[in-house]
Amino acid sequence: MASDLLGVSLTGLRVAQSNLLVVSNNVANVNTPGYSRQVAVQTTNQPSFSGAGYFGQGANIQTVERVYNQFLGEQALQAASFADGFEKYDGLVGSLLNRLGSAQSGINSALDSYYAAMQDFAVRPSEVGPRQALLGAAQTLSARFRSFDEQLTQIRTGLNQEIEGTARVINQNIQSIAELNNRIVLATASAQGRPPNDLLDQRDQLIRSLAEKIEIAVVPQDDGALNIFMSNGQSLIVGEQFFQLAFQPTPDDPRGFRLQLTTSAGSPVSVVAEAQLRAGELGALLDFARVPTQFNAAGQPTDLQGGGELFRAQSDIGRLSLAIAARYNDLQQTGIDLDGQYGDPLFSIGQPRIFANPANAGTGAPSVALASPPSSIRDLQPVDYELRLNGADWQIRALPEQPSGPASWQTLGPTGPFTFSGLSIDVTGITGAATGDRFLLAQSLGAAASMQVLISDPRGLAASQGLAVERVSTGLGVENVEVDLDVLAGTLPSPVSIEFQALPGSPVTYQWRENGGAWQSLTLTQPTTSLSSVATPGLWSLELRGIPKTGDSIQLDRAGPSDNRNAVAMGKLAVGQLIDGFTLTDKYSSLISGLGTRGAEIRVSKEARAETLRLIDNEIQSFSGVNLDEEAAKLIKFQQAYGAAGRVLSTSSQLFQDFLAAIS
Amino acid sequence: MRVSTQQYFQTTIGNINDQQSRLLEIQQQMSSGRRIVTPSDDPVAAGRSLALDTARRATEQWLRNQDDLQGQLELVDSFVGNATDVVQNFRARMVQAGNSALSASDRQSIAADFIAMRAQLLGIANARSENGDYLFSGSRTDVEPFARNVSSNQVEYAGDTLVRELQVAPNRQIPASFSGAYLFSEIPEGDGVVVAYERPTAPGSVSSANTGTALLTNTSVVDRAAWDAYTNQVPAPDLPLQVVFSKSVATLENVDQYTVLDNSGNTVIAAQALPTPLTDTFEITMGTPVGVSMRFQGLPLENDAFDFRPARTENVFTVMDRVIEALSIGGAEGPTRRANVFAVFNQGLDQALDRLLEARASAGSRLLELDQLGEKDREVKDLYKGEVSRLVDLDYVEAAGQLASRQLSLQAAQQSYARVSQLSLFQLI
Repeated sequence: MASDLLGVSLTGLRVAQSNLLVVSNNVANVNTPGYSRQVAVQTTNQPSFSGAGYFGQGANIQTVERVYNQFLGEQALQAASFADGFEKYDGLVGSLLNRLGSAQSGINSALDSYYAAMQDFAVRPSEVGPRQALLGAAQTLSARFRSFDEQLTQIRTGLNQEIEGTARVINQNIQSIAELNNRIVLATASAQGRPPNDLLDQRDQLIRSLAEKIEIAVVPQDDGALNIFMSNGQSLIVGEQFFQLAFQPTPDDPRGFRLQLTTSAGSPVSVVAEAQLRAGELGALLDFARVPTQFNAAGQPTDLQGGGELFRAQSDIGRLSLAIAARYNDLQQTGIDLDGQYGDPLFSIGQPRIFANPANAGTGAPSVALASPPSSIRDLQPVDYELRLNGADWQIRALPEQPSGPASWQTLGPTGPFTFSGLSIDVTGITGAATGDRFLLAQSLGAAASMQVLISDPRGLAASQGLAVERVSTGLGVENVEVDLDVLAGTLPSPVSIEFQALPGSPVTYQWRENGGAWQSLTLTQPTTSLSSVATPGLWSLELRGIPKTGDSIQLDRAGPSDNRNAVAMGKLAVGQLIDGFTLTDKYSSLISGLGTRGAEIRVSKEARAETLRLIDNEIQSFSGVNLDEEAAKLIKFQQAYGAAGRVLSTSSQLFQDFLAAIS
Repeated sequence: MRVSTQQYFQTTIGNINDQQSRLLEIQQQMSSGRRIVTPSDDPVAAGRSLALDTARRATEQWLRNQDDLQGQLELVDSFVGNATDVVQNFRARMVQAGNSALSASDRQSIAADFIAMRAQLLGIANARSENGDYLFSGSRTDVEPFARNVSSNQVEYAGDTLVRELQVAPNRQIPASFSGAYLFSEIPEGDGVVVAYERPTAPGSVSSANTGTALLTNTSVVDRAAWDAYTNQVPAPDLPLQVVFSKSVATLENVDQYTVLDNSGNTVIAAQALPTPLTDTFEITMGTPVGVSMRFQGLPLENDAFDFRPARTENVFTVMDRVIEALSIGGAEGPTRRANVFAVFNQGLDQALDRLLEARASAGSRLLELDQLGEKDREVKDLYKGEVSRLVDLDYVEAAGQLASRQLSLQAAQQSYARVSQLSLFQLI
């Protein structure tokens, strides 16, 4: 009996000691991230049988368990992916907005100054001062566009570096998790299935930081290993095999890189399907960096406006610069400058960028340039185009800016080079093209990057429309003649004499002729009658009020330096709907408020997701975290248990002494 | 609920972080004075404030254009006013010049006056703005609009009819001046339809002077359809037409009939009887194909003739030239001939005056419109300003209140942290 007493008390001592060890380990790890508190699982020993029945043989520690909830752990992974993803996105949109949005540095303030200078120019067309000021404002405007494009390009460069860095961190995580997987499998096997708690905690912590970078799904295996998949189903760790994300620069892509999944040895497996990577920092970065030139399975380039915020901002800035250059050049080139010549183009812009569908059968890409820069800029439209081969013919269409859908295809022809809306398109560099081959002609990318003012001489600004009514002879039948000149390029208008005659009869019929040419019949209409040049069609046209009499005539001649009609027309572009049915300033405002709305949405989501994560983390902490007070109480409890067991031991020793004393 | 030690610290630290960032937010707002620090703070207001800013700047531009235009129009108005005075004086002086009793020297001194007035009007017509641009030369503001052509000895207009228009509202352009053609050189003749005169007063034709005392007091078209049909013929009729008085019987004492001839002497209307008895004031009405009526005062003699043709436009300086030339007509028929000339050109000056008054009225209504536009735009500009301020500017009173309350919550969070962190069972054992 007594020896049993000794043995049982020893188990008590051992158990209490083990418990104290576990408590002290908990206290030591109170601040270890990802640590789950551990408890020793204590059970009774096998009782020994005697005639009187079973006598307990003390206690033992069966295993040390961590207090861990698998379900909460998995929830936390998803929540962390979303919380960190939105957090990252919020930061990205914020930095974009900070660069675009300020009232002082934005495009709108430069546009407003340009518009104001344009008005002053229209008020005083004959003076050099306002002209010089207008050129200055135009230079500021184009510099603003260039610097915006540059800043957006910088954001993209930084973004790509960040994506590369994030991919590297993810790769390291995957490697470490795979390693831990192996160690856990070994440790579990060698401990007859008892859990290696601290390794598990370490792995969970690594998985958590992986989930912050990229959304994952975790599938536990029987041997203790975990298989890890990305949310798009592509696997990262399967059994002992793991995969890596390879960041590959692709200069021919507007985004500039490709993410590929490779084996641990580095041999490529597949391209990362980014579309479903919606959460985690990488998901946010990829979404923000998204460009729509990834051709989809059907071979259609997606709408250029379908890109991420960064792309949309850059494309809108590019299209704004296109609209400005095209519309002002158009007026400038049809107007007459102070020296009596047609104006030279005011703005130049960058060349369009071409992207080929990776699925194209042919090789090479069309060479596309501004038809004859910069004079062709006036014909440009603020859109991007899709080019395709259909049978023998190349076809082109504008990509949609609005949900109304794309324009219909226009056939260019079989060989080219073609000229279309100010672009010259040469397809001779493509070999082996087949029906269905597609290219994206992205004018909006690259336009703003090299926007420049071409005119340096203020006299070169075209304020005049060229022809003016010099004299209306007789002037009693014909009154208020308004001449609206539409010119043919390269033909400077010269004096025009227009004569009228009214032929008696019932009704009276009217005729007119130009510069003594053949008489043309004239049908009077209310309230005005339109006349246009017959000798040089398109050279001039005018609106006539009143009823001409025989002998009435109108003399047109070169207008003087105070003719501001063209300048007024340029001034009116400020309120013209030049892009997507918006004025330029409204378009920019809508870009900013669109970004702001997106930013606000993301901020709300970010806060909600962060709160969700906080709640789950709280629950985990509440369940698995170490509470020092609790440990202190346990310390006392096990100290007492240890003391009690010691007391039993000393009692047993006393009993033995008593027994020896009794028999001696 | 079980609470882990880390949770304590994390939660309280998280709270303190939250409070600090909210405090920073309000501090940013207060130091920038703006409620919206980045557009995502209030995207709708941010977008709207950008648009309103643009609208405000556009309105300020319209106001600047209006001011500019107002200055120019006031200048133009004052010159047109001066021109009106000159033409009025000229016309008043012509009444005096019509006095048949004037001696040659009297007429000479009046002519000198007239010449001075003509020079004065020419000076006005060639007026320049403060930057040296001619005001009344249409778009050719670098060209002196009115100058005497040496070969034709007439003042000719060298400008054009294109008047610079300034934009004063998104859809409103107002002309900044008038063309010299409109003000001075394209003045309708006669009543604007027909003009009649004693032939030598028209340039480039020769005829023997009338010898009677008939003064043409009024000419008008009574049958417009006939007149238009006749004058619109192709080829054009040989104008001017001429009314010639004659006697049906050579022995009659006075003329009793008239014939209408064209410029080559072809008969247009054969001899028609004059009213009988022929009173001092009589009227003839020519039937088809001309349809013109003329009223005379005094008695025409045989072969006295008056020309008439469709009115064209004439130059006010040419009118003045003719009046000054007429003052030199002497002789027995002088008074009647001068009276006939003055009658025609009195009408011409009336037209010139009408044109100038019309211009002044038009300048006045433009100025009035500018006033109204300016008033409206100033109001709108203030509205825009107020709206932008309402959208983006910070309400300091409210912000100060929020600052105090956020400070308080931060303090509370910090103090509770300090207290809670001291609680530990370990300190008691």
